[in-house]
Amino acid sequence: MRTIDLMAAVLLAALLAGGTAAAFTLPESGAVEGWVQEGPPRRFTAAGLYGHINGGAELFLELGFVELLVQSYARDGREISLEVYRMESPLAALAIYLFKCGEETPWPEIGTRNSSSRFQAALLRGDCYVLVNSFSGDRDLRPAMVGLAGKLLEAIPAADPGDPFAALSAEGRVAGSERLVRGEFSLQSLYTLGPGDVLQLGGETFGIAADYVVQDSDRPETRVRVVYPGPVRASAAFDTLKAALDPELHALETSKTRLLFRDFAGRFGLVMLEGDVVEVRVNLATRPGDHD
Amino acid sequence: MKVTSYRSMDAITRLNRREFMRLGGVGVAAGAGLLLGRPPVWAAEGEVKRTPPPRAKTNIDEVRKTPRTARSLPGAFPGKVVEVHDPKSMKDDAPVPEVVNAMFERGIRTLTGKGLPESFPLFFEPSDVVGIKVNPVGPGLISTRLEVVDAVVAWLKAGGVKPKNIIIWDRFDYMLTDAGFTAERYPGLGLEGLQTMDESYDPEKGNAGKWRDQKGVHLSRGNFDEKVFYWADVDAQKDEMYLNQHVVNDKHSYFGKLVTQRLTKIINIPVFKNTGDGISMATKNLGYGAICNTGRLHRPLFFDVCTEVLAFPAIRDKLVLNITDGLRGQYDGGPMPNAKFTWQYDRLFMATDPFALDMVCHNLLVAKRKAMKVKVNEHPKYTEYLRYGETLGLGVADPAKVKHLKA
Repeated sequence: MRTIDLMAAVLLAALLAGGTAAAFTLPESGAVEGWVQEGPPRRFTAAGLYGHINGGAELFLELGFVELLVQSYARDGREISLEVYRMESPLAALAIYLFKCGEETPWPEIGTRNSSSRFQAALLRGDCYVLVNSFSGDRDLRPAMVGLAGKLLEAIPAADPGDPFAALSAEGRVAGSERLVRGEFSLQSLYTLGPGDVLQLGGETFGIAADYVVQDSDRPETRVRVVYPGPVRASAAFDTLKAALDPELHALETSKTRLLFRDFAGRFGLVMLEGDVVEVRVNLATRPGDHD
Repeated sequence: MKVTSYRSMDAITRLNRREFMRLGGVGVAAGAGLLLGRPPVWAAEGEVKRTPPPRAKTNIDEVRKTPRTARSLPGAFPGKVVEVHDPKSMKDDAPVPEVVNAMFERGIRTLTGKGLPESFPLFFEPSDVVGIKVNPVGPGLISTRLEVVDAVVAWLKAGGVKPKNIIIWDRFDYMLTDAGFTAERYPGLGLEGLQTMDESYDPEKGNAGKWRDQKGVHLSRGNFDEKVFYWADVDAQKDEMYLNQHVVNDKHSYFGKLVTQRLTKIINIPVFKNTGDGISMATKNLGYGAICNTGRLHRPLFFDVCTEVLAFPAIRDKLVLNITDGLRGQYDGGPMPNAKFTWQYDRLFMATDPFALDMVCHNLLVAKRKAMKVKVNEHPKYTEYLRYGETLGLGVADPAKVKHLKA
């Protein structure tokens, strides 16, 4: 088979895999004593995600949503539901988890990374982001929430997304501030550089972001680093940003590789192009020098 | 008793995949971008002049020609916002009625300088038909609390408004029911959704749906006033799913007849919650709750809709009081309900001026988000619609002019 045909076959297989139902099974009735499934599971693909999570579907889709399974369980008139969001990859699952988990408050008895409260436990496992919802928020339902989560986790293969933030300096980084961005909606939640997908991430290229403590400043600076597939793409993204810079950001200096601006709050921002990398720093309290 | 689950749904923000893909390309304007009321720009320093993206045209200029009345927004107390706090307002996640009643009384007294009976004629006449606009999204968790509505209803009844002339309303009928606004709970009062929608409708599964009459017209089409509409030069989706939810799909967003023809006064009771880096409170509760065909408006106009819809006489001249229910708040994950980000806030906020009210609440919510280490994008576009409201004479948004009182 010619190489190009082989590549096409692999691509087709990958596409088909992306469109198939989840490989895991949901906990059966009675898997946790007394809790029975209420009706069949509901499945949402990308086309129907808005039917389930309005006002938030865009972020899921941008970060690599594949499918969602929702199953409710009932006992004595009370209800717990599982929402299993299968994403394209463990990295995509981590991306949505970081946006949704808030300040992490893990329950240690859940055997995976999680951020939990009596109303909701958010879990990260393999390529899945999972919500365990307790609608009443009753404190005595915690064992049942943990039990259902545990049964579900048994069916989801673990996978390590690695440390995508290794390329960001650890010094001064605000713990828990790490984010993965992949387009307009994820970037807008950090900062408005311009309209739409102004960094041209296209829902394909992940950028990494984090906050950094700044001495003598009441707020951290935010850094975003994007490694593009090549210098041409990086340069195109940089040029797009320069051309479409938000009207509230006032360019002070521009060159082929550097953009310095001042924002609506009088803080500075710096965008640098170097090879296939675009680095953004915003919320700078002082004007950066030429070598920053 | 079965505990009713909340829905992961805020219908007013609903787009489908097709619309998302259509609108999601590079270059789409991310926000409103109006020039009105912008903060001062910084002195030129080798800066490049930029213009904001063009904004979709609307019929706001036509609407503004209607003369104002003595009742027009911002009402009797422009720029005045009362924050009522009582740490005992909630017990075991449920409001304590007598505490909520006392908070309401204290709020009105601080707002008007008079007690409840004496304040009544400042806003109403006994012959009024009063609509209470609630927010039922996220029932039980972050929806308008029944106990707050109870306090308002008791005040209206005491003032002589007939129960049948008190109408609790929202855009969607089924959401009212889910949130507990039922005939059993409110006997004798009116309960009305501007429209219905078939939640189970799924044309891909061959489901015919229960939202059209025999002629194929949306069952709720007659509930909307063809003569009063917010027009915006923005296309709507042409598929059936959109029609099911939005009643019409042209460039008109019609007001509910309830609002234009029957109500003589409106009390607005939103909840204290975010929508992304903005808020979904007083102006949004009516801006997106009084009209149909809103799905098309989010991307190109979003918050400006909250301002321009309130400029219509049907709202501008009838909205007399806003009470933001902050007994519990939600600082992130909104407008969908998300328990992780809710907290007991024990507050009611009251004002005749919804723009001052929203500005105060926006700033409080931003402070909360920062305190909870939520990333905050403080771009002016998230409050620009409030300054726009001040420009249109509908309220006061400049924090320096807003009088924020605590009771």
